[in-house]
Amino acid sequence: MPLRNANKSFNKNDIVYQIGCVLVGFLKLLKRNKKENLEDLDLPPEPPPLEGFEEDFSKLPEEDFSKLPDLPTFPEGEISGSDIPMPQFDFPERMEIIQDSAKESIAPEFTNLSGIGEMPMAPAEPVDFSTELIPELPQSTPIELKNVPEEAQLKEIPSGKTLYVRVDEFKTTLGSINIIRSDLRKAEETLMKLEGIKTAKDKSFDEVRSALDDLQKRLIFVDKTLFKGE
Amino acid sequence: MKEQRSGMPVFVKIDEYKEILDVIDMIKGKIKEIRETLGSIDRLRNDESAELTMWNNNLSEIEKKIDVIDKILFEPEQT
Repeated sequence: MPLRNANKSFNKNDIVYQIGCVLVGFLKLLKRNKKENLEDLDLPPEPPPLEGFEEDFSKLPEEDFSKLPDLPTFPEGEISGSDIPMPQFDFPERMEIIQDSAKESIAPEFTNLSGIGEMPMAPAEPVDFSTELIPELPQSTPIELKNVPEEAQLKEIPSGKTLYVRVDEFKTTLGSINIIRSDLRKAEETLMKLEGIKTAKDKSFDEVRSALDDLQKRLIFVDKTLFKGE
Repeated sequence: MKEQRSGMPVFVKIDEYKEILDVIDMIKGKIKEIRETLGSIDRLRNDESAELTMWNNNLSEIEKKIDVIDKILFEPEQT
């Protein structure tokens, strides 16, 4: 609201409030008018002269930059794997994952909910699938090791991935390991028995050998005695 | 196992799966080697049994001949 008795700059720049019959103006007396004050400000003093740089640059010798050597080119033959084609990764598209997860996250239809249809439905808020419902990939996936060929298992298991085995199969494996341990102990005992049998057999062979030697000696004595007279 | 619900599979983490597979392969190789050694021992036992049988027959022949000689030398009156 312009005031009649005020000058133009007051009516233009200052705010005037009317409270009841009293006009109150908040004068911008403490603030500077930048446009007016910038023109009135004095210029700052000149900076001191720089020593050594006051020379004329036109006196500097002109360098011929065309004589500079060319940049070296990197030989292609030394680049390892330059001729190897880059592998084609078959990544699933992101939107497909998001759509699949959105399908899975849809709640099942409720039946026999009377009265809900009469209530006003709140407008559905748009859901940003790109930030909220990105499915968290599992850190490890259980792999069934049963009835799978060993080579196929090794091919399917990527390096650095955690593996899990069912607890019942784990317990079965532990039981089998205990049975194998007891069988190995039995086999060791059997081997000890066989070593004892072999030692006894060697002893018997030595006895037979000595008996045969004695027999041969006696036979030679009999032979000499019988045919000495002839 | 108390926490395991009925029908819910519970898994045990295996850290060194490939190393276990390598050890199992090595055990299989050792078992195969032991089986071959047992077959070799079985063959040696059969050969030993054949030699012992032949040795027994040879000893029987020697025994018979000794009996003949004994009869010839120490029973001259009867012949």
